[in-house]
Amino acid sequence: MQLPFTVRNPSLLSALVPYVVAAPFNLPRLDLRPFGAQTASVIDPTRLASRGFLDLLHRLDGLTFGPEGMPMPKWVFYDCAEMPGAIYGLACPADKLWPVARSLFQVPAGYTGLVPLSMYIAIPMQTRGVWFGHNLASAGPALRTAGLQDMDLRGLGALTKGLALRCFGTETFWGATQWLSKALFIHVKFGPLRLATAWTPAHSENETLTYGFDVTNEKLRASMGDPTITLPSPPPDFWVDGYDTAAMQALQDRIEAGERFVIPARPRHEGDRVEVPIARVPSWGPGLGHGLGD
Amino acid sequence: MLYNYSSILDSCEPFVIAHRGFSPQLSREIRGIQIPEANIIDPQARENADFLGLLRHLDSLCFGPNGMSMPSWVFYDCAVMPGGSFGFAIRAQHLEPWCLEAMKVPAGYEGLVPVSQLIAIPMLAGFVEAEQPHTWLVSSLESINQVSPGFAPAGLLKLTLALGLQLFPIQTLYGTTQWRSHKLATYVDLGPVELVTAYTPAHSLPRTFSFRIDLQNVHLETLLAGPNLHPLADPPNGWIDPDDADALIALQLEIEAGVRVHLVGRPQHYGARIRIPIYRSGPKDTVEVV
Repeated sequence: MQLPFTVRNPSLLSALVPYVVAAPFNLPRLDLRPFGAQTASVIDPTRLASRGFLDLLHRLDGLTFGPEGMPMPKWVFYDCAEMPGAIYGLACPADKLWPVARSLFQVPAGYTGLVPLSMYIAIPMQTRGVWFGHNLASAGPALRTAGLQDMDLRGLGALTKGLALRCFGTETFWGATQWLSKALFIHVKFGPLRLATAWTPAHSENETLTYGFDVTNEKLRASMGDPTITLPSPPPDFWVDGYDTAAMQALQDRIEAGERFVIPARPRHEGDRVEVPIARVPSWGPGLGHGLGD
Repeated sequence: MLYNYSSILDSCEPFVIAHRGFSPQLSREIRGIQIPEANIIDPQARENADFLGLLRHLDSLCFGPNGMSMPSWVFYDCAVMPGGSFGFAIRAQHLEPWCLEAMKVPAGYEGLVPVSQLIAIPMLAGFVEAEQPHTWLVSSLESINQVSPGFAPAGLLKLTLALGLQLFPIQTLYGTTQWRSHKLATYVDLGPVELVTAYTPAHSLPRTFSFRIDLQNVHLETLLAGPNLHPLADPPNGWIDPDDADALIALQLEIEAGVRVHLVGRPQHYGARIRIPIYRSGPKDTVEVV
């Protein structure tokens, strides 16, 4: 796999290959060569022969989200990813996978296909080009925990999400994450994140924020580590403690009252504390951004 | 047509869950039925937390026995943010005590208590030369009556489906359901159901089928009228046993080989045996008739 720009960890490009999971009726709407990276394999979730790969994908999700208590049931994979949208990720051929990793993934003996090491899932919203992402999984942390310290999968999550958003044709992106989620470090690589909610009772975790950004090539390249691109961001006006639920609710009230905020940069850690920077920005109208009212 | 459903319209109120970007695109009236502005629920607003909690409980009652309760993050990320929900609700003060207990309505709550819901989300396939999608997936369809008969008037599921399909701009409908689900008969009343998959190992319950229906007015009328045979359905040329996994796999392989399979009638029950009428067609010159 080759890209026309430098990424944070170029070794990923030589070790892994892109795959797409998409039903035949959705496939024509996808770019299978995002930034020129040719998709090596297309998996059709409506065919019996895809079962082995999809089971491994489910395993990847469990390895990523099991510890946080939000693994996806298979029916969610099917109803909320494979039927309405698509899954994009990077994989390693089974015969090149490290034995410990094969064991961790419970790869069946004799399986010779691809083993997914990352995936990004998004589904289209009600307006063309507007997508909602709901799963970014990387085997990196689980493999490190398993003792595979030598494997260099740094930057895998960001690379996957960047290529996926281009594959999906995303023009505006929305997603939800928790204030304390490590994934927030990846999300802010796309530049300042608009806040649509700061406290979200409709979600499993009230301490969830809804964030979004308009997608540009520069933002995608920056997210993947292109050192030639620097994204502008406003200075923070204040910080929200990742454990301070009262501050989240107060911020939510301000959003509902019409004020607009962005997360301009990555969170900072001080001991056990995690603080997320917030910048107040001028209101652009009654809505929260493209797709959520302009 | 709606006369037969007047008891629902007399006792229940329609509601819609749509965020502020989607809400303006939706009509406040379906077939003459008004949806009060107060019943348009913004899933991102804190004030709607109680109602959304009750909806979560309704879903848990309906899908929990199949191990498919919808986690709240799925409801938010995969339902009401990308798509929307339409349903009916009853004011808490109009519910009998046993109903309040069944729905775990908090003491003092005086708002709407949801009793049915259809969730629809856009599909990527539906964005052909259009800013708004015309192909949608029904990701959930439920009624309190399926687990608590008598809670709400009969016919609630059908009316929720029929009106929900008109609220959202759906021309082609996709969905998934289990072969033994009572909802299979409801979908068949909607029209000939073309199978996308007959056996689905990608799903938690492999004996799940995926389907597609190109919606026409005649389908919606037929759904509400509920005749024994849909006027556009071909006569069956085969039957499928929904409990026979091997038969479902064989049917799946036929579909993968290019045979088009439609469900053309409601399940027929013969003691413990169930048979569902199907119609095979497609590129093969001859198809085996079971």
